[in-house]
Amino acid sequence: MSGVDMSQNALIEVDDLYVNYGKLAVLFDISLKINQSEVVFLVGRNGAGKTTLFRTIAGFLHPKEGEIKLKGESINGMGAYRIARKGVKYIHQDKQVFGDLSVKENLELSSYATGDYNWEPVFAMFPKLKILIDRKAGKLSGGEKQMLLMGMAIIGKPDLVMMDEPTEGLAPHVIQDLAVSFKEISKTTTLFIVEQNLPIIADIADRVYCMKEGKIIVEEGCREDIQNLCFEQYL
Amino acid sequence: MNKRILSILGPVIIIVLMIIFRYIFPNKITFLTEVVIFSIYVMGNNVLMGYLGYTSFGQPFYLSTGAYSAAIYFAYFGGNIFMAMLVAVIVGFLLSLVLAPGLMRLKSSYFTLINAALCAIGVFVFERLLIDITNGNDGLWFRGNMTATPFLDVRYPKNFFFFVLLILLIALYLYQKMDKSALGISMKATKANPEKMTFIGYNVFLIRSIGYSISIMMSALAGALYAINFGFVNPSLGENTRAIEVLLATLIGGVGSVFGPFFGALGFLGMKDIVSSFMSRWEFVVGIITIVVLFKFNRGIWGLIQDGAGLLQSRKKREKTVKVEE
Repeated sequence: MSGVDMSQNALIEVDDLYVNYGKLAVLFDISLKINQSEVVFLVGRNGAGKTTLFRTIAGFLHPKEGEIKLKGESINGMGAYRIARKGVKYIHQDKQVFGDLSVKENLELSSYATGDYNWEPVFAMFPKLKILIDRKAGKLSGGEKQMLLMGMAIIGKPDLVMMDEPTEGLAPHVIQDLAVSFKEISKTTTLFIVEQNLPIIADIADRVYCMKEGKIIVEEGCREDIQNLCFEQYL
Repeated sequence: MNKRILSILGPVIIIVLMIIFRYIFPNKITFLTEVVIFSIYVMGNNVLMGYLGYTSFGQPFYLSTGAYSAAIYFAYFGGNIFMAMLVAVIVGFLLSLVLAPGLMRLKSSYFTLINAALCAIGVFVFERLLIDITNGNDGLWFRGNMTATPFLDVRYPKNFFFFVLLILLIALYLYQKMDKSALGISMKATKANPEKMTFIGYNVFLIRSIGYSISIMMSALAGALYAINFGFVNPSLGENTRAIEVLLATLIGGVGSVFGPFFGALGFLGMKDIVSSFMSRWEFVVGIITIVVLFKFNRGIWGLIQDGAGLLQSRKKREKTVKVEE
């Protein structure tokens, strides 16, 4: 991908990134930029490399070549927990919470890690969590688990929340609720989301990157084109 | 009820239970003392197994390290019992600092096998390498060097029983605190999903290392108490064939629970004591009973007690509801 404008207020900058699984190359020449307060979506078919890109930014995979910068500082080779502490939260695709712990204990884990014990913003966004506070997280429904994961992610006021297919497998009315939550979270936090649900993307995306076979093939930054799903032809 | 009172209630009930046993079975004081010390040893293993998800075949190594640390102190340096216990715990801590960087990066199966190897190495070190200090297979005797302790002379078995009970009370109280603390919850969460813990911002290696240190220090403390109880140590304490005992006791008691280790120690040593009185190969019967317990009651004795208490509570609730309806 060429022509990415690496401006000064970029939160995340990825530059000429190459990632391998052993000898197998999976990401090629990835460059992208996420500015503060943006809602950026990453789309593409299964196996395009979306999750690999997320895991690389989150520090679980280390690039073979290229650079990832967070607020101008290189985070290449940095441990995943240190990147998380710098304000990059990653919500995994599998919606796994700590099932044997209660909702309260799950939230406490986030608080211990960030030092932020104010849960009011979480309960304001997801009032249901307050009702379910003593329930074992393993007993929650898929939508409730996603709420809990998002609640845990926003504790500590992170700079960036990355979500990997947050609406996958959820009922339509739950997806609608989550879309409202995305909008709410995006008022204070930058969002980078892997998503297949095109109506949500059309509704809230500031920018969309399309991936195919380990490369970014299109960057769509025009709101009108996003609403008209012009990028769909590349999927 | 006040939270502080509640948190001390469980440990106190266990201590009272042991004191009652001590007076009902006055000639079983040696057995009861061993149950108390073994409980502390099982609590150490439970941190690894129940909180961190590691199965260790190396606990006898850590136990014998603690026992030899105390024994060497008594034999060559001094006679203070508290100092001997402190030396054992410090040596356990230092050992964990040396081993944790390597072991805590391993998957559970490799951890298990390397710990088994550590046992073999430990026996060799205490039996051969340090023979001039440890007297090898003859063992290190030091009972005569132990000095009296103020208020309660714990060199006498009757007094030593109450001394180890006091240590168990403190250990259970702190264990319960740990269970509910940030550390306890973090360890359990790390066991369940280490990757997710990293996403949240936890240094999983550090959490595991802290848990591992706690486990080794508890095992070393139990080793020191064994040494003080017997007045001597020999290398057989650290043989890896004995690793299964602490693992079984942890499973029988209820993995990952606060009070499970005590009931596991009592159950395992109780079975061993009863069965060995009528057959020499007690392992056969204990093995069968263990398999049955684990298949039918996989939450162990503590799980059974909790289920029983839950049933009683729900029955009481139902009776109350019926009365109100009437």
